[in-house]
Amino acid sequence: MSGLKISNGGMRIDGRCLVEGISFDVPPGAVTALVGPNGSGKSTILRLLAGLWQPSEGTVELGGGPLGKLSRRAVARRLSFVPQDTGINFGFSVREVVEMGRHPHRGRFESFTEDDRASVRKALELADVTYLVDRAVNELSGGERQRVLIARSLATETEIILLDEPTSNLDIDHSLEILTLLRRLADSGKSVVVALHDLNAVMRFSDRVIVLDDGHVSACGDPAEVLAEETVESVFSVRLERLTGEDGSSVLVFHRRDGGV
Amino acid sequence: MKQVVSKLAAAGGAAIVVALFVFAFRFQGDLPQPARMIRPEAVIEEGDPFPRTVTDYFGDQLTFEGPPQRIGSQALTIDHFLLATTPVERIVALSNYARDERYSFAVDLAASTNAVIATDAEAVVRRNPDLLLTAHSARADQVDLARSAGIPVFRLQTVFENFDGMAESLATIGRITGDDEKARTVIAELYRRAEAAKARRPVDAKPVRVLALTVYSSSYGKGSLFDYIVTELGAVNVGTEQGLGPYGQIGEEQVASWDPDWIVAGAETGTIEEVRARILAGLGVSVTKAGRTGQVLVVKNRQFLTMSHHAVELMEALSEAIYGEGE
Amino acid sequence: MSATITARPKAVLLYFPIVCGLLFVAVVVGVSVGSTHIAWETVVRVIGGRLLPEGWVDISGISEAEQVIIWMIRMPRVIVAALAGAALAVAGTQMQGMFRNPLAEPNIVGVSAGAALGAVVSLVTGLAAASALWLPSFAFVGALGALATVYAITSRAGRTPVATLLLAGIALSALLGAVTTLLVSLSFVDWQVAAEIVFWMMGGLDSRTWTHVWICLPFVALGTFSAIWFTRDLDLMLLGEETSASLGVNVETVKRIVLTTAALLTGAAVAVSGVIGFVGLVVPHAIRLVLGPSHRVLVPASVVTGALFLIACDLLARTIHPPTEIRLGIVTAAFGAPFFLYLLRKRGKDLGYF
Repeated sequence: MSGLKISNGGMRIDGRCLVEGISFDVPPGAVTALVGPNGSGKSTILRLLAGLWQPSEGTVELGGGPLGKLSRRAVARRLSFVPQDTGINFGFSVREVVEMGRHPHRGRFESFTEDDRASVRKALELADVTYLVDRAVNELSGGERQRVLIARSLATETEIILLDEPTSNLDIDHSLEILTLLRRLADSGKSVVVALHDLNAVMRFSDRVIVLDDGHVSACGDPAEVLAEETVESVFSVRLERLTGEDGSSVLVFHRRDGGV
Repeated sequence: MKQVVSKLAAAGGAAIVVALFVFAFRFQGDLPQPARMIRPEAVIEEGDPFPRTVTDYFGDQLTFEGPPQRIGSQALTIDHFLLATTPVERIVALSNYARDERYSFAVDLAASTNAVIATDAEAVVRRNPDLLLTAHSARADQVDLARSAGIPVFRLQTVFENFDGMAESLATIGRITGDDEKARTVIAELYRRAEAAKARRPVDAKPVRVLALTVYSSSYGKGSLFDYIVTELGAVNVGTEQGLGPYGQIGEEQVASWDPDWIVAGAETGTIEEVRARILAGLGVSVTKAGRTGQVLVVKNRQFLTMSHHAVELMEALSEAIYGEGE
Repeated sequence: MSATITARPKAVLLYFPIVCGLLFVAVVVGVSVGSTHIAWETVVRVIGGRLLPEGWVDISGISEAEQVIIWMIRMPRVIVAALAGAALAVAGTQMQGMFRNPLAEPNIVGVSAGAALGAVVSLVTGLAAASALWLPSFAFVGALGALATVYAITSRAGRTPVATLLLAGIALSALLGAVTTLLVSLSFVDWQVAAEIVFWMMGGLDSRTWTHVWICLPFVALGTFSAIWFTRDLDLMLLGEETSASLGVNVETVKRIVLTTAALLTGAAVAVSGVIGFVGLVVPHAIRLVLGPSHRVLVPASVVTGALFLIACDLLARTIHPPTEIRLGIVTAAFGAPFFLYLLRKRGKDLGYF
């Protein structure tokens, strides 16, 4: 058990319901993918899991107790969150940004220890950004910046990592690289929860998928089973065609409902 | 808990801002008139020997063993009073307007002193004044600075609604400096000239309606010195008639609809005719009686703006304008 | 570009000694130069005589007037300039960090406008003439009142989005500015009174006394301490609120404290020096260009640079056109704005503005 669990979670802002009746556990050593159309509540659920928002209904638990009762630092030491990339206006170096990942482990005026340095080094290597350390983060390409942000979250060395659409800015190569990295992290025992748009990537890299539709969980389970024609077609309003790739895995192709190309 | 605290803080802050607004607007119109005001004793008694103890605007008492010999003034109105009553060699500091002929009636006299500029604190300290006269509206920090440098400071009322208040401040200066006699003469001369100006008014004259118009298109109403001067002359101040406070912005429309008989304005020396022409050309003015008959009096700016006894010059000019050269 | 980043540690090592040296020179020059001439040895002796135990420095033979000029007129003035400059620069640094916007400055949430309104109320009602404590008190009340109002308007369900805060601040600034202008216009019954108020609003350090030093010192100390306390939190805030929250920062608490201390700092500066623009914008910005955005360096650098900048500007203000003074707010804007434009032109590209 990763210890992160949401039970009957719901979130309303100004009376508008964003998600409702969400319940699932985050399994350890696995990649859990959140999929769903825009506005279906992926980001909301990630924020609830990260403790950034307090659920208006239900509970989010971390390590057996309600997450809301823990201090922000205590949460940050066990769970890291990579929000959707919004760019950074300030010229921090990549090293400075990744070092910030150590924040939850450091006392207010404590200096950087050898342990901290080792964690940062490891995170830089894992995310393959060591060669960028002396670059300004506001000058990086989207893909580079995304990997730096992941490195930052790795530097915190948490058991749980939540990511909101980490591949949205990346080219094919880099997005495969990130997904492989997430896969590796899960295999090494971390719990990864990631919101994704690319259903093929979900099929290939995740162990478990949660399909969201308009703030509700519409299906949940093994990707190969869950991403069946009926579910995908009803949730995403598309027509689905399943092909078989050269390695025998299935590849999804989507067509517009009205038959257009 | 946190939310309650933040709500309380927010409510408190909002209350403070509202209080500031209310506080500010309550004082609208009757500007600097703090409640603590104490009228200076202006009575000049015969045979009133030094040491003399005098109470200033804020109730601080100063005792003078003898007439002060190195006197500084920090406000133009006080410059005028001081230059009119005290020998120039006893004046060590004057405001920076004293030598500026746009504002000062005593440029030559001021130039004949050795006075430094009163805002230059270092220069003032160098002159080692034994009295610094300053306006009741002077910031307390300026007063504190002078006092911490060991200079006795006396604060005087410098904004007046009538000649009596002016006479009181003049008399107070005389009492402090020991130049009572001179102060009495200046006061007497002020009232004599005011009476003469008033005497021009024909007995059967209908009240003339006069409107002040500043370069900022503002006018003076109730509680202003202008209002006093106009009323004393037996005329009507249109600003007061229309419910204006001591000072207020007006527009072309008001000028037109108020329809004054006379308009009074100030201008820099040399531009008087030009300013008069410009006022007459104004849309609002052109439809008034003043505009149609050319009854626009433009005086020198310093006559229009002064709060000193020289304001009687405005009274004389106005009297001459509206009642004719007379006999 | 990477060269600039690798050069940063070296720049930091050089920056502090250089700026502190210049600051020392500025203080000495600031106390030595005035509208009347005093030999600098006299200046050193008087200051020594005051600061060192009695009998260490012989101050006999120095006239009372010179002692007063140095210790009661010039010294408080220079110290107030340093404190106000440091306060504005630190407030600007905090605001820019919190708003994640390099163009934020202390006035952006309406605190300067609030402080100015408070001060003008005290001037217009004549209270400022009654005691030297009224004006600063009103300025503080105005600054905190403006902040609390903006916060109250913006805050919903315990959250305060910075973008809304910024917009509300700008709107409130305009409103408070309008009320201030209205009050000033009403004070034109006597043009001299009005002129005094208008001059005050342009910022200036004439007639500063030790009282002013003691009024603003605790707030500057408190504000700087809080800025140093939150250096790492402010760094994290630059990466975005969600990122910083997920890294263990109590975002709303930090925001509240940073805003309050920035308001106190600005209030302290306005209380003792009037409205002085551009320091809070230009100084942190210039430092960031040289030393990078890390608050660990930025905050202490803002303290010394802000102090240096304002002492230098005040020196210009009182020596450019003797014996009258140019208003300080005019000087800071006249030097701050071109410098800022130069930086923007020269280094704006590095910051991604173009």
